[in-house]
Order: sequence, then C-alpha cells, then structure tokens
Amino acid sequence: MPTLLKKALRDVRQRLGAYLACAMLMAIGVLFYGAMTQVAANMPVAMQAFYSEYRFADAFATLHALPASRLKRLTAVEGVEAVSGRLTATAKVLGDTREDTTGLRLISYDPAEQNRLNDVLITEGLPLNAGSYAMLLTEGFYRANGLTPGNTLTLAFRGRKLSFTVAGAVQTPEYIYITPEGSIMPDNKNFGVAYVPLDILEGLLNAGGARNDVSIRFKPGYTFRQLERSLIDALSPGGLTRLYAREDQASHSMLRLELQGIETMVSVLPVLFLLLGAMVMSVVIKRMVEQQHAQIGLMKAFGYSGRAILRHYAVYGILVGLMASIMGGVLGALTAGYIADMYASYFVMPGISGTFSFARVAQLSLLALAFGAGASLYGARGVLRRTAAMAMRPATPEGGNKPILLERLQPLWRRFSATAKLSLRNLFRSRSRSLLTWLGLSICYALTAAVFAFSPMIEYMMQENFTEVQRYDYRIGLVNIADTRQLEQTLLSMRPVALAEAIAELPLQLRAGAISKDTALLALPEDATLYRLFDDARQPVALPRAGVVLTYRMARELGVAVGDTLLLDISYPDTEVPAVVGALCEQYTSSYVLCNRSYLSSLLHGRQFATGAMIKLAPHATGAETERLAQRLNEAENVASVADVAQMQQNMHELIQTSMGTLYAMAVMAIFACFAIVYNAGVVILSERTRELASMRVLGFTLNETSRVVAFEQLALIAAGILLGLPFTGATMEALANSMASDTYAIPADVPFSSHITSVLAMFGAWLAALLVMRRKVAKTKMADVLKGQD
Amino acid sequence: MQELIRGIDIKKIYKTGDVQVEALRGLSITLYEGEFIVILGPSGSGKSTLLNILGGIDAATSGQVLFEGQNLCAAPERVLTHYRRQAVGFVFQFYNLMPNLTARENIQLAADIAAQPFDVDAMLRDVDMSDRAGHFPSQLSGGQQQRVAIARAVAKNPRMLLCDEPTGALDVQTGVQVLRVLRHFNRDYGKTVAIITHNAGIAGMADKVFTIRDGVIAAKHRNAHPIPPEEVAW
Ligand SMILES: Nc1ncnc2c1ncn2[C@@H]1O[C@H](COP(=O)(O)OP(=O)(O)OP(=O)(O)O)[C@@H](O)[C@H]1O
Ligand SMILES: [Mg+2]
Repeated sequence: MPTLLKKALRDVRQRLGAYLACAMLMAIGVLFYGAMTQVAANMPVAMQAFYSEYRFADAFATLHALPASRLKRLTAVEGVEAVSGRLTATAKVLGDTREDTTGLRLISYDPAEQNRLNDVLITEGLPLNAGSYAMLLTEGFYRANGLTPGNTLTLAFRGRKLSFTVAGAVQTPEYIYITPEGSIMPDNKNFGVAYVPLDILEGLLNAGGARNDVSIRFKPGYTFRQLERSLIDALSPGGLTRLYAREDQASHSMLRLELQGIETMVSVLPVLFLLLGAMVMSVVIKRMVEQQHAQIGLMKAFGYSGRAILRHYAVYGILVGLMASIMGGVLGALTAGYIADMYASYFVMPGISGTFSFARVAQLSLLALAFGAGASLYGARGVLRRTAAMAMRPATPEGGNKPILLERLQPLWRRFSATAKLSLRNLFRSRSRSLLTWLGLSICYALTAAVFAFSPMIEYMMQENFTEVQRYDYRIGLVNIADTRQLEQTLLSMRPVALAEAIAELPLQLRAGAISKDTALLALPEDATLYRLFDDARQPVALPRAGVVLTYRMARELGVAVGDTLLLDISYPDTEVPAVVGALCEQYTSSYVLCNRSYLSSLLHGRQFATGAMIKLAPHATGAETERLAQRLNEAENVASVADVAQMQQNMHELIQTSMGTLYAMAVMAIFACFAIVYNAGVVILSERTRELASMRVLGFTLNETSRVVAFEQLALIAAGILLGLPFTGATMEALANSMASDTYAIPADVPFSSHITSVLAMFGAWLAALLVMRRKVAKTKMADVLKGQD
Repeated sequence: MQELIRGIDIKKIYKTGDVQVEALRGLSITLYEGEFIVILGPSGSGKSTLLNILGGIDAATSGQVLFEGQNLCAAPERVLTHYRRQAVGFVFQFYNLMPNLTARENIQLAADIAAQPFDVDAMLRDVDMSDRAGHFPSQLSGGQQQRVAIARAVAKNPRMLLCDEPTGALDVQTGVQVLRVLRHFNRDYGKTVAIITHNAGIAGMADKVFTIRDGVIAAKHRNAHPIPPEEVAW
C-alpha cells in the first residue's frame, strides 16, 4: 500500500467521527436516491401503460340522462375516437352497526361491451355476468374490508335493501387514487367503487337505455380545449351537469401531484444532502490541512509537488464518498421495498415496483465520490500557497493577525477573560470555516422546523375546518332537488336535529377573460351558522347579499379582485350570468365558490331549491338517538349521501397519522443532520485545539474550564445558526406548502412556535451530545504526548 | 533547605502492543526550595518522563511523588489540576503558546487562573518583551516565543519551574537570554527551577546536577560555585 494512502487511512481513523458524520449526511442523499429513484422512474411509465392498455378517457361528463341514440351520435363528433356511456349512482353499505357511513359509488359494467373506456383489471375473482346481483370492487376497499369472492354486501339504495355477491377485486386507471366525495385523503375502509352489471343498475334506476355518465377518448392530436364546445353541444340535451378534462379528474390529478412530489424528492433532496455533506467535509479537510501544515511543509521539502499533495487530500474525500455510497446503498436496498409498498398502497395500479437499482445507486455514488473529492480539494486548496519554510512557525491564523471586530470595542474586549478571547478569536479568525458551519446549521434548523411544522399545520387545518368552518354534524346530499323550507322543516322534525340549513351545490365554471376554472358553487342561507367563512387573518367573513366569495388562490389564478365581475357558467340549468366578487376567503380543504341562497335563486330567475342540507344535533343527543337518525337518513329514498363529520374527522386524523411516513423520515433525517453538523463542528474545533487544550490543562485549567472553550465556540455558532435559520424556515415552509397545494387542498404556510421549539431542542440536544463526547476526548488526551513534539 | 517535592521509587512502564518500555526503573529524587537543578542524560534515558510525572501531567506506573505530604500518584484528577495550577510552571522545547492569543494574552491566560499571580506587565518586562506584548506567536522568533512561554509559566507564581529542553531549539545568543531569564526567576523570586538539557555546559549554572541513565539516577553532583549564564560553554 502506498505510504501516503496509509497516512490517509490513519488520519481518517483518527477523526473517524467527523468523517463518518460527513459520510452519513451524504449517505442520506444516496439512500433517498437509491430507494426512490426506481419508484420515480417506474410510476409514470406504469401509469402510461395502464392508461393506454385500459383506455383511460380524455374527458368525462356527468349528466341527468342521455338517451342511447344521442350517445351514438357523439362518436361522430370530430376528434372523438371512442365513447362509453355508463350509469352511476351512490349507495351505502349496511354493516352490523347502524352508524356505519360506508359509501360505495356504483358504476354500471356492460359485460358485452367491446373496448370499453376506463376498463377494469380483475386482480382477484371472476368477471361479471349480465343479470346477476354481483359486483367487482376496487382493490383498496376490497382489501381494507377483508372481502373475498362469494361474500355478500347489503346495500341501502334509494330506500331499498339489496344484496350483492362480491365477484372480485379490480384496478382501474380511473380510480388509481380514490377519495370519498369532498375529501382529499383515501379512506379505503369506508369508501370504494363497485362495478355492477349494466342491466341490474339500469333496472334499479329505471334508466331505460339512458346514461348519466359519459367518458370520451380523443383521436391523437386533439385537445380538450378544441373539443369542449362541440362536446357541450352534443351532451347538453342530456342535461349536462359537468364536463371536465382528464387533468381535472380526481385520481389523475392526485397522481400527477404525487409524481411531481416524488420527482422533487429524487432530484433535489439527494443533491441537497450531498452538498451538506460536502460542505462539512471541506471544513474538516481544511482544518486537517491547517493542522498538518508542518507535515505539508516537510513533504514539500522532500520534493512533493503541491499537486501531488492536493491529490493526497482528495483521497480523503473519495474515502468518505465510498463510505457514503456503501452506507446509503445498504440502507436504500433495505428500504426500497418498503417505500414501493407504501406507494402501492396509496396508488392502486399494476407495475409499481421498487426493486433496488444498484446501477442507479452507482450513478449517485459516482456523484458522491465527485462531491467528496471536490470538497476535499476545495478544503485543501491552501496547500498550494504554503512553502516549506512556513512549516517552521506556528500556523498564521486564517484571518491574519488583524484584530477582530470586537477588539475595536476596547472597553468591552478588555472585560473578556483570556479564555473568552480565545474562543472569540478562534471563531472570527477561521472565518470561512465558521461561515460554512453556520450556513449548514441554519439549513438544518430550517429543514427540521419546516418538517415539524407540517404535521401541526395539517392538524391545524383540520381543526379549523371541522370546528370553525364546518360546524355541522351531518351533511346530506339529495337525489332530487327539494324545496328549501320544506327540507329544513322535515329535518327539524326528526330527533335529535337541533338545526338544519338547506344548501345548494352546483358544478360551475368560472370565467374571467380568457381564463376559466371548473369548480363548484355552494349556496348557503343568508345567516348560515353551520358553515362559516374566514379571511387569511382568521377573521370571519360575512356572506355578501349579492355576489360571490372566492378563495384567495382562485382569485389569484383568475386574476380578479374584490369588486371585479366574472362570468358564472352553470351547466344545469344551463345559465350564464355575470357576478361580482363580493369577498375573498381562505379554504384549506375545498375550493368552493360561495354565495347567498337567495342570490343564487335571483340568478336562476326565482328558482328556490336545495341539493342537500347541513344538520346540527342537539347538544344532549344520546348515542341511540343519533344512531337512529343516521339510519333514517341512510334509508331515506331521496338521500344520496350522508357525511358524518365526526367520522370524517376521525378517519382523516388516522390517515394523516399513518400516511406521513415520508415526512417523518425526513424529520428524522433533518434531526440527524443537525447532530452530524453540530458534532462535526465540535470535532473540528476539538482536533484543531488539542494542543492548546492540553497546554491549558498543564497550566492548571480544570477539565470543565477547558471544555468550556469548545462549548462556547460551538454555542455561538449554534445561536447564529438558529438566527439565520428563522428566515430560512419561513422560505422552506412556503416552498413546501406551494409545492403541495392543489385546487382542493392548501396548506397554511405558517410555522407554529412548537416546531421552532422542536428545532431549537434538536440543536441543543445535538450540542449537549457533542459536548459529552468532546469532554471525554479532552479527558483522555495525554498531555505529555501532545505537547512533547512540534505540532 | 526546605524540601519541595520528593519522588520515591518511581517506575514508569509504557506498553505499546507486545512491546514494553521501562522508561523509569525505580528512580528516587528530591527537589528543594530555591534550587537550580540541571538534569542530564542520553536520549531516551527517561528525563522527560520524570519531569512530566513530577509536574503532574503524566502518571507513574508505581512509586510515590510527595508534595506537601500528599502522594500525587494516588491523587484524583481534581487534586492534580489544583497542583498544576498552583505549584507548577511548565516550559517546553517547542513553546506551546496559543497561536490565537497575543504575547500578553498568553501570559494573562495563566494569570487568570492563579491564586496569587504576578503582574502580567511586570512579567513582560522581566522577559524583556514589553514592546512585543501585542504580537501573536507567529510574529515572534523562537527565542521570543520561549521567553513568553517562561513568563507565562512564572506568571502563576508557582513553586517550581519545570523546563524540558528550553534552549533545545535556540541558538547560543537566544539560549543565553532564556537562561538568564530562568536564572532571574530562580535568584530574585526564589523559585525552584529544574532544567532538562543535552548541553553539559548548562550544568555549570546549576546548584545540583542529576545524570539519568536507563531510567535511574546514575550520578548526582553538587556545584559549589555556579557560573552565570553568560559563561556557559555551548
Ligand atoms: N508515549 C510513549 N509510548 C511509548 N514509549 C515511550 C513514550 N514516551 C516515552 N517513551 C519511551 O520511554 C523512554 C524514555 O523517554 P523520555 O522521553 O523520557 O526520554 P528522554 O530522556 O526525555 O529522551 P530525549 O533526551 O531524547 O528527550 C524512551 O525509550 C521512549 O521511547
Ligand atoms: Mg525528552
């Protein structure tokens, strides 16, 4: 083995802690990459393959009833390649307990249809036969409820009880990601999609050949924008309520958002951690080079060239890169399967695999080696300047012998003890090292605080939503529209209903100039108490007498402000009316356009109607009473859906708890990064001060007094890191929240105080741990050995 | 003369792997108040080891070191620290100054922790470094650094100065300067000074000369008429 390599290996072993910490930071990068890159590369491909093989539609329409003849004519529209007409309805599953609010969306399935759009892949069980009361269920629901072929499900459907046999489980491009109505989180136990033979559903709905759901696939080269007008014309006779593009389809848009997130994780995070590791690494190397200045002088005196010595120091970085690759590779191989499983449980489609790719890890390992070597060269670049003669004198501190800033304040400076002066000068003299460490610490702080802000923010969002905004206990949706007053009175007559407010919810397109947005309109009673609006300062917003209320996000996207006029395009009844933006509000889990019920009726020329209602129970309602009410609502003929807020909140809470795996992993890593950087700063300080600390101990300073020099220096760095970290945290959070926001989902970008506390605690915890290690090292140092030689 | 410190049957064994080095093999020695002592001996004979043990920065494998009735070899770290702080001033061949502190601050550092330190500026005058007080070690010559190191050791007002080859890295002229400073502290402040050296000429300055060979004292010699530093033959 070359002698210099031996030296390198011994040097690394001597400062193993410091180098290991660098390597681990880099290893986190390799780990992320190794474990996620396969999923990231694989998901879009799997998605595309699934889409084309199972003919995922380009446009979707919901209507009242489109006669079969009209459906045929749709194929003749220019640019349309294929059309599938289906019947859809909602039903509730009756379980053993009456409070169950398990919902199923029923979709008709014609066993005879050729090349059906949004086809299903049967993963378990058998295909459906015409005329049988059997259903294929989406896999998530099927598994979450532990079903097997042959099981029976009893449904409450339009006031009737029906029994269906479970035929099997399916996957479909239309429901890769399934969420219940009005929710952003999957809830596999309580919501799913069931495919039912067409003739059965036709009979149940008395549809007589008409369809209420149409999927359209375009010929290559056609876009939704181009075809929209002609599709509306062709579909309007069927009472079109909503026409939307694939981009706005729930499963597709969620999947795309997630792919985007994975893309970021794979491309940004690994490089971030490699950089962080490299930063720390260059500091360690720089220090080591300074410490070895006598050796370097000697090597030069022997005739080594500056480049040869630089090459020698690059070896350290390569060693660290190697350690990082191995650690990251092993950890990645161990976690890849788990990560793929996690994704497969949220996104139900064939072909998500997370086999660990050594080839890809090798790519990143090369990058890690390059980063390591680069960091070493950067840290060691000073050796080129050094001459053999300089080895004979104590190293001149980096900042030269110029007085540091504080020294100018003589009255203050004179008050410091010599040890404090020592710490302060160390800090200010090794400026570039301090700066790098400072930056690293602040990044870690921001990362930790932002990651920890996430879960409280989501909790907060739910809290706001379920206690401040949605103040009702139940929300029902009707099959057929009803008169508002009559509906409220009917509901109030049921025990233990204390308050009922009828609402109208309509699909809607907003237009402002050339920009349009598909969304929904929610009309509330003038003095609504069960649904309240808030602005971004959490102040209540009153529902204006005339005009609509938009979310800030929506207003931004449409480029409108309060007082502007926009066009409301309501498709059923087909109306297009101008409306004034009366106010703006914040909505975290929805993006309703809100208005006053009477304002809506004036827009629709006096028609007063409700599509549903919000219900508040009496405060002393008993469990039995509540259960009976839920049962009555569920079985009522005109009730299409019943949403139990408590249940929704509970479900959402549980889901958030379990679905934040990635965030928790990031939090653990951020805390780890804090430890690595703080510890490393300490090790560096310590190794460069060994001689001074030993001298101090010979002079008679105690172990504690000696350690204090290091502790103080580090503490100053940490405090500065936290200060700089504060603005970084806000920016990080803003970026994270923005990258995750969508039409129906916004995360407040505030950082709660508690996550700052967490982050500060993490930093100080790291500091204390590092101090303990260092104190032990100081105690173990053999004074006589350290001091007998020259450097 | 008053006894200052006494080492009895000191043994020191270094173990590195399978190899054992017996640096001290049952050495006994007594230092008295106000003495000027020179320790001679071939390289590797155990001089530095002895001085380190007497100064409380290394531990003997067996034997006793008695200071004011207390056995330092059995003393806890707290006592050793106190001993180093109050009783001992160390001077090394390679100065070991704090590179980030000025000459004055290096001395201040020691004065800060002593019970009855000498005035820092007086120390600077004593070693003739007043005009260089604000300079950092990297701006000083070897002899100047060594004078600061001696001033730092003395500033604590210790009972003894232990110097391991204090002139080893210096030329004749600066060597004499350094010896003069040490002599000054011995004579004018009454401090015990012990110097390890390879330069037999320096032995002429001493009240007492110990010669160490193979880890034991091979010879002890008393000087009736110590010579001044200027007359030392190099
Ligand atoms: N840390 C150590 N580990 C192992 N052996 C050591 C150690 N320190 C000293 N020795 C050995 O102990 C013996 C005495 O060393 P010491 O340094 O006391 O000699 P010295 O008389 O001061 O020599 P010099 O005049 O060369 O300084 C030597 O053989 C040396 O190799
Ligand atoms: Mg020696």
